[in-house]
Amino acid sequence: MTEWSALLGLLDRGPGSCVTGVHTSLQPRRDDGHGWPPPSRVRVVTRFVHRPPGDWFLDHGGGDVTLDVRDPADGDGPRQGGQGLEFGPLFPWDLAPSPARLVTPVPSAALAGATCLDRPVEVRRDGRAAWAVTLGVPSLPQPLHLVVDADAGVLLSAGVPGLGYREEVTEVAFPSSVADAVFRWTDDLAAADLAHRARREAAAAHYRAASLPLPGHWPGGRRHFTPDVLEGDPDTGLLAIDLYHDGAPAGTPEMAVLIRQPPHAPPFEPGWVADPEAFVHRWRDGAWQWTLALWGRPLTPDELARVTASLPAS
Amino acid sequence: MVSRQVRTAAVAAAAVTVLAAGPAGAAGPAHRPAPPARTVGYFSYTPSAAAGTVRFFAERPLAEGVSTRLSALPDWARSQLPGRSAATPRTGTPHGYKLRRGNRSTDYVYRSADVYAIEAECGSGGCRPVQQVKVAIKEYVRGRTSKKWEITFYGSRWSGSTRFHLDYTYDCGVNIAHAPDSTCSTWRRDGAQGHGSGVAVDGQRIVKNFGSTAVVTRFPMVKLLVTFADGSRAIGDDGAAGEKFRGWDVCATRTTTRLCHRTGDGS
Repeated sequence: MTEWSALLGLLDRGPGSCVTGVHTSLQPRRDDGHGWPPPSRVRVVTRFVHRPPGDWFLDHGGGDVTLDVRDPADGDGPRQGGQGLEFGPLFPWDLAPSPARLVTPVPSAALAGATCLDRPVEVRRDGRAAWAVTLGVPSLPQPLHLVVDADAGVLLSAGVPGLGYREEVTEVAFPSSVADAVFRWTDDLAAADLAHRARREAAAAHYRAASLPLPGHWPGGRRHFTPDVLEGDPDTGLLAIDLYHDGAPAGTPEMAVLIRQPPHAPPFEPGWVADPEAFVHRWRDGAWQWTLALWGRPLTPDELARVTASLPAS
Repeated sequence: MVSRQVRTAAVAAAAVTVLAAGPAGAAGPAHRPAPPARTVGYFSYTPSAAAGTVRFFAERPLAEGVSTRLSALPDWARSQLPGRSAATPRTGTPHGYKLRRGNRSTDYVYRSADVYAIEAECGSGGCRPVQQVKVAIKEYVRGRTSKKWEITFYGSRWSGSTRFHLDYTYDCGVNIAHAPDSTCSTWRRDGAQGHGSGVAVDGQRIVKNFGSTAVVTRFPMVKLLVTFADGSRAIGDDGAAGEKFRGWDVCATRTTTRLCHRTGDGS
C-alpha cells in the first residue's frame, strides 16, 4: 500500500544511476476535425542511454542519432528542451515524446498539480515491480495513467488511453556507470552514418533509373511536381517518394510524400511523416501497402479515390 | 580571399572608361582586339571589355528598356565605377550570411526571396541591364528524428543572355545565444557535414547532415556565385563575388526537428 505523494517523492529522487532501455511512443494522428482520415497512430522507437544529471544518447534507427551532452564550456545555465512530463494546450499533438519524459519526469507542473483518482495498485511491468496510478491532471481532458517503477524512481509508462497517447520504456537497466565514449560522436558512428548515406544514395539511384509509380491525378494538377526518391530498398521494394509540389495552388496540400512497402512490413514513416500533425492516408493494392502523407490538409475521400486509381498498376 | 576579390573588381572597374548606356551585351571599344575566349564551367565566354559595367546582387531587377539612376543602385554596385570609393561591406554573422527575407511556408520549408544577379552598363544617363539572373534557395528540414536538411538551388534567366553559370558553397552554422555564431563542424564533432562546394543547376538539391547534438539551433549557409555570359561575376553585399544566403534557424529537441518559430537573420 502506498500513496501518490510517496510515489511523487520517489520520482523526485530519480534513478540516481545511469539508465538504459528502449522508449516507445504512440501518438494519435491529426484528423480534419470530422474523423478524416480514419484514426491512426505514430509509433516511434528509440534506444537510449542516460547518465545523470543530463547526458543522453538516443539511437532512433535508420542512422539517426541524437546526442545531448553537458559540455563544461556550456556553463551551468538552465538547460533548454524540457525534461519533465508536461502536456501542452494542443495535447496530444504538441508534445515531443522522449525517454527523458519518463526517466526524469520531474520537476513537472502537470504532476505537481495532479490529483490521485484511485489508490495506486501494485503491478509488474517488463519483469519489474511497479505501481499503477490514475491521475486527474488539470491540463488534460481525460485521466493520465502512470506506471511508476517501485524501486528506481522512473516512470515505466504514461498514457491517456482515451486519447491514444502512450509512452513507455522497456528493457530497462540501471548500470552504475557508462563510458564517456557513448556520449561522443565516434569514428564508429561516423562510419555507420556514412554507410547509411551510401545505402540511401544507392537505393535512390536505383529507383531514379526506373519509372517512379506516381499518381496521374493530383488536386490542383501535377505541373508542380518535381518528385524524387527520398528512401528506398530495392531488395524489399520499399520506396518513399517526395513529391515536392512547390508553389501548388492555394487550398491544396503543401507537402506530400508517397510510400510503397511490402504488405506486411511495419509502417515506414521517415522525417515529418512521423509528425502527428501530418495527415496520413493508407491503403493496399494486390502487391503493396501504400502511405500518402500530407501537410496542410488531407485529401477528401473523392480526391483520394481518384489519386489511388491513377497510380500505375504494380 | 575576400579582399583579393574586392581589389580585382575595383582594378577592373578602374581600367575602363564610362560609356553611355548601350544595348545589352555591348562589346568593348572597336579599336581594341577581341579578348580570347575562355571557358568557365559548362560554357565558354568572351570577356567583356565594356566600360562602366557593374555586376551586383539586388532584391529587385533593373527595369528593361529604361535607364535606372545610379543613385538607385546599392553601394556595392556604385563602388565598382571609376572614381567611387569602396563600399563598406555589409557583413553579418558568421561571415556575411544573411536571411534574404522569404517565406517559412510550413514547419519544415523555408524559401528565400528571389535575389537578382545584375550586370548593367552605366553612363551619364543611368544604368541599363545587360544580363539579369534570378536566384534563390529553399531549405527543407526532413523532420522528426532526422538530422538532415535539403537545400535546393534556384537560378534562372531574368533578362539578357540565357548563358550563365551557377556555383555554390555550403556550410552549416550554429546559432549561439549571446556569442558569435560558429560553424557546425568546427563547433563540435557530432556528425555535421562541413564546408562543401560545386556547380549548381536550377532545381538541384543537396542533402546534408547538420549534426546530432540536440537543443542547439542551426542554420544552413549558402553562397550562390553567378558567372555572367561574359565571364564576370556578380558582387554581393559583403563586397565579394556571390550572394550569401542564411537559412532559417532549425530547432531540434531530442526527438523532433522543425524550423524554429523565429529565426536569426545574420544582421
